[in-house]
Amino acid sequence: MEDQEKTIIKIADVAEFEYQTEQFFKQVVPHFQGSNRENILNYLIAELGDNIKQHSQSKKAVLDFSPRNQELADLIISDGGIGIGSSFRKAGLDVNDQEAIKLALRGRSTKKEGNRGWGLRTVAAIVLKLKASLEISSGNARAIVEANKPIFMKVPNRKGTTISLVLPKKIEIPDKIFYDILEGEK
Amino acid sequence: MSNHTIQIKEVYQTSHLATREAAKEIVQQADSDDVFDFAGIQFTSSSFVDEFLTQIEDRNLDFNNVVTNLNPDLARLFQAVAKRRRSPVRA
Repeated sequence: MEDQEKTIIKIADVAEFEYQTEQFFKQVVPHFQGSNRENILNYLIAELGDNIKQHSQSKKAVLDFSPRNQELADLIISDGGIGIGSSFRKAGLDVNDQEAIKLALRGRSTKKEGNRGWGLRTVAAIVLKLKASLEISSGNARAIVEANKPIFMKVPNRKGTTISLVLPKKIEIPDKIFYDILEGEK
Repeated sequence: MSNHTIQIKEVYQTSHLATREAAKEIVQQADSDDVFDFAGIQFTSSSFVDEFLTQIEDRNLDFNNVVTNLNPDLARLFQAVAKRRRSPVRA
């Protein structure tokens, strides 16, 4: 049986956040195969981590890795913060929790300045390319992103946001396609 | 003019940088003639890169003059993020 790796990081301290994210990444990478697995995993972990730091107003985040079997592993990133819906509402958008997740998946940011909001949209694009799955639970909404259009459902209200990825242990995206995704062209 | 080099890895004691906040701190705490040395930085998030580029632009710094030692993957990531910053804002 493989070890489960869980990292709890303090949000308030940037240096601690960066350090712990790196430690978690180093724990996770050896469980995966693929020539550019480091770039892919880094993107997923760092981007989701930054979302928590930027938007959650939580004091802690939990990064949790669990090998599921020979083929799959679970990567869960969660916080006890205000949730995606509240983050959008605080930015002045009149949306419910489900609509907020939809907007985030489309690349809409709560930040007014600049051309931002690529994080969750790009994570979803990478997940689809890997034929993996992504589940976002926040407030009273849940979204599941798999092969087809995202599925949305209403669930009992909960504090914070949990993003769960089920990843194949062999992850490979050709560099050209990977960077096209990052450029927003896929 | 005496350039001072900021060793980013030494500042944060990590080879990975995830957050916009770190990018903002690094650039805002630098002097205008400082050089940002990415030696030893293996990975960053695209959010870090986006914020770093925003801060560089806000201070009217020339990227090619103030950034050094990007590894090839990071250089590619900077290019990708720079390209998407020029693409239209989504509806």
